[in-house]
Formats: sequence, structure tokens, C-alpha cells
Amino acid sequence: MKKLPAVDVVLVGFGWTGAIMAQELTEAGLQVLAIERGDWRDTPTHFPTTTAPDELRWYWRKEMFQNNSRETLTFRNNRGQTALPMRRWGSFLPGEGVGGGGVHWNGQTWRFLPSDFVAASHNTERYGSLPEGMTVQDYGVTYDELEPHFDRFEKLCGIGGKAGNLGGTIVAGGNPFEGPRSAEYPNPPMHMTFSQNQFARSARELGLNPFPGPSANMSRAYTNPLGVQLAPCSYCGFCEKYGCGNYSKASAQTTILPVLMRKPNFTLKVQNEVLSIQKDSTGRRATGVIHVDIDGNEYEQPADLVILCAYQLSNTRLMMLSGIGEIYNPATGEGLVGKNYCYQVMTSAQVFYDDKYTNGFVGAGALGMCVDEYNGDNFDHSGLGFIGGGYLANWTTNARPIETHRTPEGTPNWGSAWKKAVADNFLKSTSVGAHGASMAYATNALDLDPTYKDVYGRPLMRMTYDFTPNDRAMAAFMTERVTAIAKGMGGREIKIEDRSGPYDSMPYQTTHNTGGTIMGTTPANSVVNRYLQSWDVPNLFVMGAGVFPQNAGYNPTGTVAALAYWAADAIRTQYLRAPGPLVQS
Amino acid sequence: MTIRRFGEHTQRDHVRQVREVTAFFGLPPDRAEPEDLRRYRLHMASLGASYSRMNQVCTALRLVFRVTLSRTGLRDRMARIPTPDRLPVVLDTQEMALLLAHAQSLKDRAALSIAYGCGLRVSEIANLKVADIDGARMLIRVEQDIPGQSVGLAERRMGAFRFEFGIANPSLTHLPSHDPDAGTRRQTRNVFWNDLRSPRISPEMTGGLTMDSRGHKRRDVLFGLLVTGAGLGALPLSARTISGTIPWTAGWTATPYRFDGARFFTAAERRCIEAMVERLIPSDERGPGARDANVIGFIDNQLAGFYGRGERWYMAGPFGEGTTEQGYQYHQPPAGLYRAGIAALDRVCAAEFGGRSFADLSAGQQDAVLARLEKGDLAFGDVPARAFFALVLENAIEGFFCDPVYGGNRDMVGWRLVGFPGARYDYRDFLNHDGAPIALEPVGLMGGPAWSPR
Repeated sequence: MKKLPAVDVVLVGFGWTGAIMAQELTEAGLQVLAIERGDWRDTPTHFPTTTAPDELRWYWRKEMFQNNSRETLTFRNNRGQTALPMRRWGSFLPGEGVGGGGVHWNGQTWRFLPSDFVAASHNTERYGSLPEGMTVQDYGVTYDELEPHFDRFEKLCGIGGKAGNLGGTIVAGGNPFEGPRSAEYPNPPMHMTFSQNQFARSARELGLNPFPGPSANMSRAYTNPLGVQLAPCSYCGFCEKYGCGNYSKASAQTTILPVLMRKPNFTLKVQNEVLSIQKDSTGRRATGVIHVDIDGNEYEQPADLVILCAYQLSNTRLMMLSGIGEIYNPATGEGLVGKNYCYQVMTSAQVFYDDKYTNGFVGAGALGMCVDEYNGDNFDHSGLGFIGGGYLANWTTNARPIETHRTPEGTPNWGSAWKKAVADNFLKSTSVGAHGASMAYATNALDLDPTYKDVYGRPLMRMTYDFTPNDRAMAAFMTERVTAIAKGMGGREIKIEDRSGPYDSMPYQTTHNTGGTIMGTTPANSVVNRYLQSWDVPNLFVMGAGVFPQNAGYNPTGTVAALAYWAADAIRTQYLRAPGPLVQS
Repeated sequence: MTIRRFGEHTQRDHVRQVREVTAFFGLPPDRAEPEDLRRYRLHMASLGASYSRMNQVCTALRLVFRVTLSRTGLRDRMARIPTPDRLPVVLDTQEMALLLAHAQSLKDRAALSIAYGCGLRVSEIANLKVADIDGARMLIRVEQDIPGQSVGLAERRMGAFRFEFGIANPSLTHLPSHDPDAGTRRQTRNVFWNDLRSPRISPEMTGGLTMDSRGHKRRDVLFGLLVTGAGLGALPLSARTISGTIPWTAGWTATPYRFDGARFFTAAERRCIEAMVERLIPSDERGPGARDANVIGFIDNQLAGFYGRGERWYMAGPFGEGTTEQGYQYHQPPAGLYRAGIAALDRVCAAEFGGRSFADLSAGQQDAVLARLEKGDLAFGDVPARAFFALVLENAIEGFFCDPVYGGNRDMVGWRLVGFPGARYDYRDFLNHDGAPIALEPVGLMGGPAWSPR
């Protein structure tokens, strides 16, 4: 194995958090190396407008995502079952290559609620102790501390939206429930279409406060604080699962890389996968990483600082494979790595029109109207049997014909009747969805699979997950609210798509996997401290939604990015002056 | 130039050259002085023009001055410059093996190795017909330039040829190309061009094989790749270190892995699935169905490629039954499940319908069988009936609604059925549709429906 010259910082993975970290730490004068297992990707080469709108290739043949054949994870609903490999991606779609999942996201860019960051203490104070088995805890960082970092990310991306709370003053037209903002969104909201207008009208009739969804699809041309330019969105309907050919969706490629890649103190290695984090004999210091290139050559890369910037599943697995921290054991409750795996609980109702065309192909990933009355602790949960909630929205992300077949209740799955129903409703339907939170339970967890291996012979991650009592009670409640709005949207009929039965790993739901390397207030309850710094190995930091102790009723990227900026700031202003633990345990 | 029987390209090049010179002179060529010509050639040299480029210019200028304008006395200002002799770059066998290994399909590899092993030109490879290959005498007839010329063919390459080009199949009279207009010459050139772009192959190793992509517009290049079927997907994987720059290459787009005519099914298997998908998406009073959309061609082609082989699926054992929530767990990739599923389906049908296969049943009988298959209510033995049904349905829907570049959705009948306008780029003009229909003809990645491969 070849030992390479040491660098100041090695970043494992090069998506959103990798690009943010690299930009921040190269600004601080550090020599930064990012190691990405996928390939280089840029807009004109890999997803120009001439090849991006291709359903078969990017989604159905999974060219946009992590290569399943080299590594996957195994899945089971509960510990009584034998986990089997997800032989192809289904319920979630981890990214691979430069830009990571940030290349194929929709761009729905939220801030979690202030109460989401203190979910355990807030809910306990208001409703009494948490139910048996629920392992929800506080993040250890507050909304107010993260606010400047949310703001930075929104300005980096050119998020379009309408503020609902400017410095504590409620502003009409925005989300009245959001935490206080220091500034308005950098861009105006997206241009709403027929479906959003129906949603907003129905919501207002129910006494709710609809507002435009915060969007990383550009509502107008934008130049970000780094001087990188983004183009106005053309509403082509190929955001989620696709790269944007038009420079209209914020991603590492469209916001950071044009500046970062030219810096002399930044280096990127692609087609190189990190196999493990190396520690010294004390086990309290990371000395660097071992990585292997696509041809099988292994390298030892020494570094003063190691930062995990891969996807939540990969970060968690790398901690396990490197023997950092103890793997959580649901039988005993011992260990922390892999604990509090959470997801997202979605329910929806479809709306069908007779004489109105929703024209869903005129869409964008974050073109939507939302209400937030039933999110977090924005409503009284007394007697409801659950905590948390979600936003309700009508997004018109797309109408892509292999994927989108809304058909009324009772339609068969194939044959002439199916074909007729698809043809009749393709352009005349929409849906209202609830984007529900996922509260941590002792039974849902990640660990290493005893049987199945990746291409390098290392154990696959094993996921043990099912919807929880909290999820089911919440989903039932949200479905009612969704149905009420859907009924008021002027359609002929609606169809409820609720969340019953066990969690199914195959139908696509959302790529919002969280937990596994959770943050918290003490080494006894968390893998990383409030600065995303490993309690065990202080020169190791872990980014991503893996640090969420539980997932909120919002898309995670805004909070993931704010936490990355927050951690970068702590490294620059505190850690570099005095390398060591930033929180004394 | 026409009298001299210059080709179209030559004529165009000459005219362009004279236009450039005229622009440089700032006056018509008939008023140019010897000094102007000298200045122009110095200008070209300062731009680093190659020997051959300098001499091309020379030829064009000679024609216009001596023939067209009948001007003499400029001869020594238009002398050809001597080209230095250079040793040709010769690849050693290892380098050649590396080059061949970068061919991304067996067909490309066969074409490349024939070119190398037999010393054929690109145009000769591209114009080969099955009849040109004389397996008995191990010869390939190359009659393009010299009638009766032939070259020897090594046994191993003959094997590759047989496999890839279906020589055993008498219905194939030409190297497979679904689009005879596109011509296979460009296809072969693109194979070279793509394979030679591998970062692991140094410029020295490419010898004279490179195809100059300068002057192509991006869309032209993409279009060329799409049309010829030589779009080979992503660049070959290669680890690299990037610093101080954005590693972007002009004129290169990672193009789709598209319909290439390759087939997986036997004739009987094809009949079975053709009948099945036609019941799943029937041609009926609402319009064309799976048959009209060429769903069978799409599926057959997909199964013959990386998808059928499960190359992007995790296919390591052990294999277990699994729950519905655990998804696909059959020990074979898609192509293998099709093969086993078809065999089981025809076996069940033969037992229940007096020896008839599924394809031979009436539409009503087929629907009844499929309804049971969907529920897993057929004696399929070890073959997962429901997984088989689900996969065929999924692939049928893909083939009905995919971009026509993949061979399905022929004439965009799927998109027309539902009103999807296709791979368009900008809908900003329609944001205020307010529930009214938007009438737009569908377009695909390659343009209009008339371009669907057949």
C-alpha cells in the first residue's frame, strides 16, 4: 500500500456537505483533499438539456444513483426476519459521484422548526414523558444558533420563497410557523400553476395559511455570494432523480464548484473509495484514511482532520467498519453507532378532474404550495397519541409517463381498463401530500450484516426498520387533513394513498434517511457533539442527516447544509486555534 | 471543381479556404499581391498550423489563382512545404490489448480487433457484409478499392465475429445496423473515437486512429452518437486526481446506452412475451398498444444488454425467499427470470390448454392466465410467478413510455396516448395555463417521431 503525502483535511465523499466543507476550509487556508467514490460529473457533460430528460436511463436504469452492484444494504422489517439485500434501489436513491444526491434532488429547501431541535425536552414539558421505546432526543444545537447558517445556505443556493417570520414579526403570505428569520429569501417564490392555486384556495377555505414552498429551482436569474450564476428555471419537470441541464437547480456544481475547483489548495480524487478511517494507538486520534481506486490500488492518506461527508448510510457504515464507537444493539440498548435510524412518513390523496388540465409536465422539483399548521408542535397533540407532524403540500414536480400513473379507485393494474384510466387522468390529476416526521424508536436501527459483503469483501449495512406506533397514529391524522384539502380542490373524485401495512423497501418514497451517527448533549447519548465532532475521536467530524437524532416533518437538505456551515464555522473559529474536543464530556 | 470531379467535401473546403484568405487579405484574390500570400502563410505558421493543413491551403490557393483566375507568377509563393518523415507510432501488444479492452461491447471489440489484426481501414470494416466473411478459408473479402482483394482472418476473431454479428443467422446480410441511412462507417469511427477517449490511453498510443472532433457542435456529436448507436454510455471508469481546474472536455456528452438491435429471446420466447405485453397494454379503441409501440423490441434489446444481465443490481448470494417488502430476490438477473418465467408459463398453458403455448391462446384465455399469474396463482415451481409478472409489467410500461431512442414508444404512441409532450426543455410560456389543455407535439431526445428507430 502506498503512503501518500499528508494533507490538512481529508473529506470522505463530495456532495453538498463535502463541497461546503471544502469551500469553507480552503478559505481558511487549509490544504483540503476530497475523496469521492463515484465519477466526476458536470452539467454539460453528464446531464445537459439534450440528455437529462430521459426517464429510462436516469431513474429506471438507475444511472443517476449509487451503483448497486458494488454495494447495497440489507433490509428487514424487524429482528425476527433475516435481512436480505436490496438488489436494486427502491424506497430511496442514494447518489454517487461529484455532487452526490444534491445533483438529483428536487430542491425543496426547508428549515426545521425551533421545537424540532429540542424535540425531547419540548414535548416532555408539554405532554409528559415520551412513550415506551421512543428514543427521541434534543439535537444539542438550537434553531437560533443555526439561523445564520440557514441563511448562508439559502443565499448560496438562491432559494425562492416568502418569509413568514422576519425577526419575530409575522409576515403575510409566508409560513407563520417558521422560526424567526434574519432575512427574506434571496429570490421570490416560484410561479404557481393551476394545481397550486386549487390547493391554496381549498386550504384558505379550511382556515389554513398556504404559502409557497421554498425552492432551490431558480425563480429568476441569480448570482450567488461566490459569484456563481444560476439561470431561471424553465419548469421542464425533470428535477428529482435527474440532473438539471439548465443550471437552474442549486447543487454543488451550480453554486460552489466553479470557484472551489480552481483553488490551488483543493484536490479532488474521483473513483476512489475510502475503506476505513485510521486511528493511532490511543484510538483517540484519526491519522487519516485508507482508500482504494477503481483499479484496486490501495493508498494510505494521512490527514490532520478527517471529515465524513458521504451519505448518511455510508457515513454510519464507515464508522462501523473503522471501529469508531460501539455499534448499537437493540437487544441491550448498548452502543450508539447505528442508533435512531429514522426515515420519513408520507401519505397523500390524489385529486382527479373531469374538465381541468393540471398539465403536470409543466413542473419543477420545488414548485408547490404548502401549509404548516400540522407540523412539529404547531398544533396541540393532547390526546392524539403521537408527537410531530408534517407539512402538507401540493407539489407539481413532474408528469413523467413511465413513473406517473394516477388512476381512480378500483382501476386494475393492466389491460384496456388500466390504459384508458391512465390516458384519461395523466394530464387531469394532482395530489396533496403530507411530509411526515419520523420519531426514533429503539427497534429501528442500522448495523453490519453478518452474511452479505460489498465488492471489497466488507460487510454490508443492515437496516432493521418498520413504521412505529407514533408513525401510524401520525399518518392517520395527516391523511385526514390531506383528504380535507384534496376534497376542496374542485376535482371529480379523490383517492387516498395512506400508509398502512409494513414499511416496503421497494416503492420509491423519499431519500431522507437519517440517524446512525446522531448528535446530542453527552457522549452517553450521541456519536457526535453539537459541532458534529466525534466524542471518541476529536479530529473526526461527521456531516449529513445521520446526525439527526430523529427526523422532522420537512425535507432535510436545508438543515443538513446549515449544520455543515455551523460545523465548518466551529472548526475555523475554535478547533484550528486549539485542536481538541470542542465540548468537554 | 466539378469538372475535375472534386468531392462535395473537397469543394466545400476549397471555397471555405478562399473565403478565409479573402477575409485576411481584405480584398478580392484577383487583386492580391505575392506579398499578401507570403503574409498569409506566415500568419498560418504563427497559429501553429500543421504541415498538412499548410499544404491543403496551398492546394486550394493554387486552384483559385492558377485555374480560376489564370494568374501566373505566384507559383513560388504557393510552394508546398516538405513534410518531415516520421516514424509511425506502433503499439505493442500490451498497449493494443488495453485499447481493445476499452471497447465497450463485444461488437465494438470485434470491429476493433479485425481492424487491427487484418489491417483494415475504418471504411472497409464499416462496409463489410456477412458474405464477405469466408469462414471456410479464413478470409475476409475487401473489394472496396481492389476487386478480389482479401485478407486473412485469425480463428479467434472469427469466433467473436460469429457471436456478435450473428453469422449463423442467414437473415442478416449486413453488419447489424437498424438505420441503414446512418451508415456504419461513422459508427465504427465513433467506436474508435469513444474508446480512444479513455484517460488511461495516452495520446501516443492512439497513433493515427483519432477522430478529430473539433468543428463539431456539441449537438452534432451527440446526434451522431445517437444515430449510429455508438453512444457507449459513460466514459470508462478511471480513478483520477483533479486539482486547480474543472475537468471539462468540450464536445463530449455522456450519451445514452440506446437501442442497438441486439436480441436475447429465442423466437418462441419472443412470441410469448410479445403476446403477454399486448394483453398488458392492448391495442384497442383508445389507440395503439404495446405491439404498435414495439415494446417487444425494447424488452428484447434491454435483456440483451447490461439490464438483462443485472449488471447494476446486487446479485451476490446467498438467495432467499424474502418478504414482499424485501423486493426482488430471485437468483437470476432479469434475463434469467424471463427465460425461466416464460418456460414455466408455457408449461402451465400446455398442461391446461391441450399443449398450446401462451401465445396460441385466445385473448380472453390469456387475460385469465395473466390474472392468475399476477396473484402468483399458477404452478410455477421454483420460479417466482409474481416477481415475473411484476417485472414484465414494469418493462412493458417502460417500453411503452420511454424515449424512442430505446426502441420502444415507437412513433411516440405512448406519449400521444397520455398527452406527454416529451423531452422538451422550456414550459415557461405555459405557466398560466389555468387548467386549459396545452397542445404540443411530442419530441424525443433525437427529435420528432419520424426518427424512431425501426
